[in-house]
Amino acid sequence: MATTLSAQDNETLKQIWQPPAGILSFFTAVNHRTVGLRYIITGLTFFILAGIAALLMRLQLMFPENTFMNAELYNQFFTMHGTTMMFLFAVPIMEGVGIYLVPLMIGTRDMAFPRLNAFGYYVFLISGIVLWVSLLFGSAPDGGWFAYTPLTGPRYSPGIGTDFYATLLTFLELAALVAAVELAVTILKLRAPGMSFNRLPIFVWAILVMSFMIMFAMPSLITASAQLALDRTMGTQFFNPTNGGDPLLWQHLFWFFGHPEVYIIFVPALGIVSTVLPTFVGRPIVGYFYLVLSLVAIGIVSFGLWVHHMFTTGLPILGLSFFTIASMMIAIPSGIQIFSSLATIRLGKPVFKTPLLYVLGFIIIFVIGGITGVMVAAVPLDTQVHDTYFVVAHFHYVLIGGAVFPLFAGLYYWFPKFTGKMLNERLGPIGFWLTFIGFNVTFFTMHFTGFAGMPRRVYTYLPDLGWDMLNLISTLGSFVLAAGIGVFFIDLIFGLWRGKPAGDNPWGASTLEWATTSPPQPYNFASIPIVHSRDPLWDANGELETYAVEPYLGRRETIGTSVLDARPEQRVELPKPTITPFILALATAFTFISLMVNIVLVPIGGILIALSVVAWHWTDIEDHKAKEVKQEPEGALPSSAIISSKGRHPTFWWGILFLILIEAVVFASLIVSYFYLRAGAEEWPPELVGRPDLLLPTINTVILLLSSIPIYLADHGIQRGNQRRLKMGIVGSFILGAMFVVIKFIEYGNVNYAYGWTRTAYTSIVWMIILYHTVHVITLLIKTCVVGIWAFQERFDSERNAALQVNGLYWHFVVLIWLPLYATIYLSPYVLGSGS
Amino acid sequence: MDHSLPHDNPTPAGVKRWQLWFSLFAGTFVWVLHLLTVYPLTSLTCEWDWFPSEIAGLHGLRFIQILITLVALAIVLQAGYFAFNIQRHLTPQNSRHLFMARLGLALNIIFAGLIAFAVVPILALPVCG
Amino acid sequence: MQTTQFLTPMPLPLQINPPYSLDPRGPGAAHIADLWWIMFFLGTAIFLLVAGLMFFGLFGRQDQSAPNEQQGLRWIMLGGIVMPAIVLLVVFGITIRSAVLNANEVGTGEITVEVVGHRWWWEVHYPEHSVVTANEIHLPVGVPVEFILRSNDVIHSFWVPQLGGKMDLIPGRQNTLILQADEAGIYRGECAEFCGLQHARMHFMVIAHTTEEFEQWIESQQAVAVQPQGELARRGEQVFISAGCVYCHTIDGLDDGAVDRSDSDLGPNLTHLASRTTIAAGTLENNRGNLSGWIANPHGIKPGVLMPATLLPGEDLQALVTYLETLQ
Repeated sequence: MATTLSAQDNETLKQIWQPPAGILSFFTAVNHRTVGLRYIITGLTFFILAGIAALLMRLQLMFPENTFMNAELYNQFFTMHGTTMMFLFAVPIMEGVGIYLVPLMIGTRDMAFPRLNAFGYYVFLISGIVLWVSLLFGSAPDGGWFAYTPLTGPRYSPGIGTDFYATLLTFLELAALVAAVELAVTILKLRAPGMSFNRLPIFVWAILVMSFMIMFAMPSLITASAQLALDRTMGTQFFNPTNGGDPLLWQHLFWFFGHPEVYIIFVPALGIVSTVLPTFVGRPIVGYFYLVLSLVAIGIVSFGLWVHHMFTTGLPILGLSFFTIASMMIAIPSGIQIFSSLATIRLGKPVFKTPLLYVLGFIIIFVIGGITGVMVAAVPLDTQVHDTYFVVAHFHYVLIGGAVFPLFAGLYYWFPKFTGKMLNERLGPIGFWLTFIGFNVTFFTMHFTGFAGMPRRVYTYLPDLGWDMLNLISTLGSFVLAAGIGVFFIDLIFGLWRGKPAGDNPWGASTLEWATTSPPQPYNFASIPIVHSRDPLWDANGELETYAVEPYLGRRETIGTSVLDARPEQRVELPKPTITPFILALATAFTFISLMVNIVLVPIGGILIALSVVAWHWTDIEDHKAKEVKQEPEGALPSSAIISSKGRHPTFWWGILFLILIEAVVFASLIVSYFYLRAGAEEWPPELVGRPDLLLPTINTVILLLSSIPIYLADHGIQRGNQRRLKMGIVGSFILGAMFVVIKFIEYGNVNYAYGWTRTAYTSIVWMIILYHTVHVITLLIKTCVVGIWAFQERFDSERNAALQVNGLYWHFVVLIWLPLYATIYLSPYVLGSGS
Repeated sequence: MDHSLPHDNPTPAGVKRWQLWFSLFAGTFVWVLHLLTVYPLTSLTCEWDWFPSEIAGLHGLRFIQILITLVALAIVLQAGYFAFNIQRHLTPQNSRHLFMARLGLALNIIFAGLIAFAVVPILALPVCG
Repeated sequence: MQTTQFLTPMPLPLQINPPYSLDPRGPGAAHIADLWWIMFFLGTAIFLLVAGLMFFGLFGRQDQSAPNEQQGLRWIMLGGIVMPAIVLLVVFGITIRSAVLNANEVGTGEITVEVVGHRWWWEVHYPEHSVVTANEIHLPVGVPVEFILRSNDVIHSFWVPQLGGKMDLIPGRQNTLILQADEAGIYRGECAEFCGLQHARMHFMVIAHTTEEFEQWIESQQAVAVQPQGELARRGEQVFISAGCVYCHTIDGLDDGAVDRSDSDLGPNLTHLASRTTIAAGTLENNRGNLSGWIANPHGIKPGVLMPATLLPGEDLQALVTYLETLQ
């Protein structure tokens, strides 16, 4: 196999990867750089909006008893500020930077699932727009970004504002999860040959850690926000204490997501710092191993901190202390990050360009935020500063210092790659100093404001309590900060307009994204680079070895490599531009908004979603019919769609695996909700409802378990080329699965369920678990129908059966996850007794 | 076709793959399970009045929690020992395996620390304060 | 009607300690302040070290003996692992010690005060003395007081910065908090958990007296309301009943014909309203002007408050306020 492409192949490559043109191209583009840039630009737009909201709040707080803004508006503004900064700015923009850079840094041509990528973006865009439009109509959510129940429940927030929050958040998390799954699959399966895990650029490590954190954290939020939405629109009782619900359940589920969330933002920022810094001190980062260790450790340990947001809820101090340990311990990996930067600075020769300034600003500000972080981890101190301006100061130090400064460093650093133009080195430092000084004036002051006793989230305050001057200083500082950020944006726009041409590698950096043109060609790399070290461009002396993927199939392709060592093992097909992601996003948005507006419309939304999914896959099937006949040259890597042998799963097998992971966390959150509510209940199940019957569910469980056997035999059979066993197996599983659903519906007629899910928290959670699982079984049956049709058309053989493998994997998951659900709902009331 | 790329890295002889993976993930799982056991036990004890009697001179809850902590610690230390053992048998040529083993070792040290420190509040703090 | 003159609330000119949590007046807050100062000095030292190393790295003379990776790894080992580990051990130790100190006080309360959070005011009960009041908590100096904290609507948080840490009031649960004031004085309290529209105006006062003064106060509060003297006040009493105030506000000793107040959004008990320093949950000084302004247009002062505006003819309003001022 050649290492570079012939001139003719190069021409073909250009044609295949031609981006769409015309007006519709906005809705059809799927390329990761297009989508990544859209994420970044949209994220920055929301950053400006939320920043303006913050400035207006600061104006209101400038003087005591100020009447600039009323309480209603102020509460909407601080809710929108927090919600936007967290969900519409920080997470999406970090994902956007990852989506743009990861494929370039690992030397591949696109993400593993480009259409899903585009879908995620539209979901993010739509939910962001709807949320902000609600503010224009004065009905934005006003219960805080943390939306504590019961304040946000139907009784105390009857308006539509909180519906926007609960529904759109559930919807928006789809985007985050989609991006996380495909970033992870891209990093695991599409790395350049030779880029084994110990050679992964730090930034890519950070994005990988972030992706897994999102997969574990967001499902908990989805569960909680779905429960809140159900409480509000359907009348369930999850968080209503008068009917067995528990407000603290919300806090647990929310913070189980909410604390990792902070690190989801912070981890990629650390990745940016450790990427930018080496370039400007001219030497590799010190302690690569320790940095990776600390990223991984932060990612994991951040899941053991969530209760430190609940130190004042009256939980036993002993229980709280376990979370103090983890909250303090996380300072050690953070310390490693800081001292790695310090050592790198010490051992290198710093060149004071704007990106370096922002990195230095990060070090100073983040260290202060980290120190106050250890302080608030101490339960006794936290009971004083919790919910005061001290905490406001602390987390702005962590989030602005720990994420926004690195992000700005990254945007300055990669702007030449994004646009092919350099930014202005005169405006850059001015923007930095204004931002740095303004930030510290605003937020350092708030530490004092907190000790002076000023609580958070107050729209006004009384004079002469010692708060007047502190607030005035903070407000003045915030305008300096805004001016600095303004200069930053002017610099960006000015650079776009008349920046000097950048060239491929203007900073002399070491990672692969600088090995291609600025901005890169649509296919990123004509030939895939081969990697021999952690700093390929510094070690290769300009002679990068490459690996050619000839475009003989006339379709978009890249190399798939093995997970640990990045050995080439397959050719991965990538999709063409298509409008289907946009249509699916619209259909999904329609469904979610119907949930809020009129429940009757939801089935219509379901049908629209189903049609969009069919349209999405339709082109695939047609394409495959055309391409299967083409001969492959001797010695080519096998093509991914037909791979099935062990250890060489196609990328979408990995996608499904991560979907299963996410689903497993959702089910776990539901089981935790069940037992949490149970622990607080006086009688469980309530006398009125009684214990569930065991006979029918037990028979049904056996049926569901049995249904796994035929599907296993079918998969096994087709790998030996046995078409008959395949057909029989699929039919057998389908019948057993359908029986399960039918029996479930018979069971629902039972008196135990007649009370409906609005009666008590018990019926709410039981119904939610059962319905959610039944929906999975029905989805499974529909999928199996499709696969079954293909099976009867004999489209599969011993090599071409990836769709079956994936279907089987998901089938076994849905069956197995039923066991803990069965034990929870049906067995636990008998085993654990019916009261506290 | 030539598949021999610069970094073809087969598992060296004498390294058991399951031990390598165990050392990478055991610490995390055990720590999570430990946290998800000792924390709810505390709350349940206080709400439902579990473990009213003393065991071996300790409050029942304390005894159970320390027992769980010791078991968890033992598993994590074993995982750390696997990693330590593996990285002793590797040469710098097996850079990727070495990397994984060292990562496993370091993670297990961290989680061992996290788990071990739970003993301090278990013994020092009142059970339901 | 000249309600407009009441629209601008008078600021609160009371001489009250600013709610500065590092100026502790009770053992709870004092422990925490000690913990803070230890952490503050440790933290400052670490910050100076990091900043110093950064500037040293940026501007210090380059090491001529070819700086190598090993030196950098030593920095990470010492600065990134060993130093934070030692500091964290110390901090963890003093945190646990401080937690033990706080926890040891549980169950030592000599007086019980029940506090129920409402949107947006505080209902205060002294169950041992059968006293009910609102937004004002009187305590004897030097005596640990056990607060029992509940809520009937949303989550609130009870916080007196100078006396100790805060504790949430959560519907469906009951929390306790022990506080003690070491000096006589008026301490400001706040609601610290966002509880909706008027979270900002949910203050209260903690008034610490000597034991004798406290007992006097209890005695005065145990009395039922005195019958109003004078025609105006008696007319005010009638207005109080006829204008609907009684449907939310209790006045012990008032013959209101057994009104049903079972709705959970009740207003404060007004039996001894005139003895309180503030109205509207610590928002306004309790004086005649503020009181009439509040009755006529509560939403002008506290928009969204659950108390409806009561449109009364000027004379009725004057009578009502006169009556309320008799409720010593």
